[in-house]
Amino acid sequence: MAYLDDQRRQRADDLTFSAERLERAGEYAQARLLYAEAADLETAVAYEVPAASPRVRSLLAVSAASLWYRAGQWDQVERVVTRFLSDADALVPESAQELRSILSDAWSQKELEAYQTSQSGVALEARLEGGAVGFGSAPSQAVAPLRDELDRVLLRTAEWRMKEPFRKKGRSRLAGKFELRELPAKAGSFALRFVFVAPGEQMLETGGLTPGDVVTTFFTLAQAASESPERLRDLVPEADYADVFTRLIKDLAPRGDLVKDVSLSSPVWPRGVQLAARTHTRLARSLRKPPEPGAPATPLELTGTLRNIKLQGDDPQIGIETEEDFIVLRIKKGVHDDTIGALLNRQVRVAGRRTFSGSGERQNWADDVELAEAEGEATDGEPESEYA
Amino acid sequence: MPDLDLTTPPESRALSHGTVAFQREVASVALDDCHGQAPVDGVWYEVGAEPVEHPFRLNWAPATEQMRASHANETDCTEDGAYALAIAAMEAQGFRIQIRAKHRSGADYLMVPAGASEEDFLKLEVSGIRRGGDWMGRLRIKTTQVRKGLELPGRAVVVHFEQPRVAVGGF
Repeated sequence: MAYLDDQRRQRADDLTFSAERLERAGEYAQARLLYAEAADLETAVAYEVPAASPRVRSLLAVSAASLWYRAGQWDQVERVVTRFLSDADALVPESAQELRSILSDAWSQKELEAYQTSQSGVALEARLEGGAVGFGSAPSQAVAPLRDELDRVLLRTAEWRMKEPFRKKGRSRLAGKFELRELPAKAGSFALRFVFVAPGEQMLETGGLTPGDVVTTFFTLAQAASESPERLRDLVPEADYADVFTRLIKDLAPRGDLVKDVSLSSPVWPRGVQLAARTHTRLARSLRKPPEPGAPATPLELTGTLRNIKLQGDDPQIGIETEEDFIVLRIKKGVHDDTIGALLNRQVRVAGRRTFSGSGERQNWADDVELAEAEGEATDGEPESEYA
Repeated sequence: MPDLDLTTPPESRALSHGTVAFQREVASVALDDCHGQAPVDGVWYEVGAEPVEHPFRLNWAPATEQMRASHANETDCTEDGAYALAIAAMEAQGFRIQIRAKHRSGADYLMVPAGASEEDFLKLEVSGIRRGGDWMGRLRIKTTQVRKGLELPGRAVVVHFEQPRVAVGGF
């Protein structure tokens, strides 16, 4: 019998296709209903595949479990996975491992939902994988910045949702209206777990914007950024906000060998968002400003220690100490405020340009400043080209 | 390499009608954007010890204004439209596309060689380039990607709409 040609499978594919379209349109609740319907059909076929066809059985088992996961039905994931794993010999080893991974993710989401309910906020998780991340441990220099970046990007998201004028300096006035609280870590993996809350009676001061609204918007932006910088800018027409979101999400994405992948998830966004080294590379490239037409400019890249930061006034600057020299670079006002403070007295990599003013004076500009890791920069071999 | 005609029904019964219709619709938007109208001559390229290149004729139904408006996002359009050509090309090579792959399998689709048991499926990873770019570099990346996930043989296909070219690599 051809299980892959089964009409129930075709119907499941139709439903999955429709669900994905709904997700793209932001209709997540409707999408989950269709995923559940697809999962039901896929599971029925998967159960019928005999042990004598281990590859097809494994394929459909993973497919069914994935669909229940996308439907947000964690108990169904558990039911399906445990049934197939009870006869693990009838599965190919990689698929058995994949089923365990899906089940672990489902349990994690279920716990996050429980925290969310108890804390009246929205739970989210940032999981680090690969590179120097081990079983239940990760390099502290990769972990600590992630907490701060999430805090900053969520506050910026709230400001953007509230259509606040772009904040060029200082603390967000929404700090205290929204709060990111850390939860206990889960054993066995390395994940930072948080709940994003609006402490006290803050709804009037946030214009009715809820933690759920902010987190959902953040995931929408992160998903777009993970696909391409252009897609992020399509969602955020305000240039200053687009720049800062590009920068903040770039800094959430892994850069080198310390961490290979950062997976973000939340009960409000069950599919999660995967940020890989490729995401970081693409977003970093997009921050490098092309020279204005007709204006002489040369690309500038240097590595050194960030010694000075001057954000006040109309001419913000940074100072980089290299082995040979001390170089002062101008930075665009308000763009780096969220990220540059943490880099003071650390080894950084600067990408920018050297231009000439109308009077012929040479000026150095830093468009992007990021931490330079000892292990080297992530490369994924991607050429700079227009591709999908 | 047989000609590819996106106006005729696909051979793979396993794919949903909605999926196939959608992919062909977006492919027509991308192809019209690059070529104006059908048919055009394309190149099939297969990586190997000695790379193989074959010409083929590509035909598609013209896109309507509504289709162009519906698929105005060039990145999505290129990505989704590439599936239509890749699937048609692999079917022309004797494969049956069986199922959308899921969840970190390292592939977009799974396919079976004609006449083979459905147990003997292979992975299919697809990527699209609208114009310009480095299709060979992209093919290298996708071939590396298809090696991950499920430990199965696989094919990576890069569709270049402007040239047009269907480039295949794999193991």
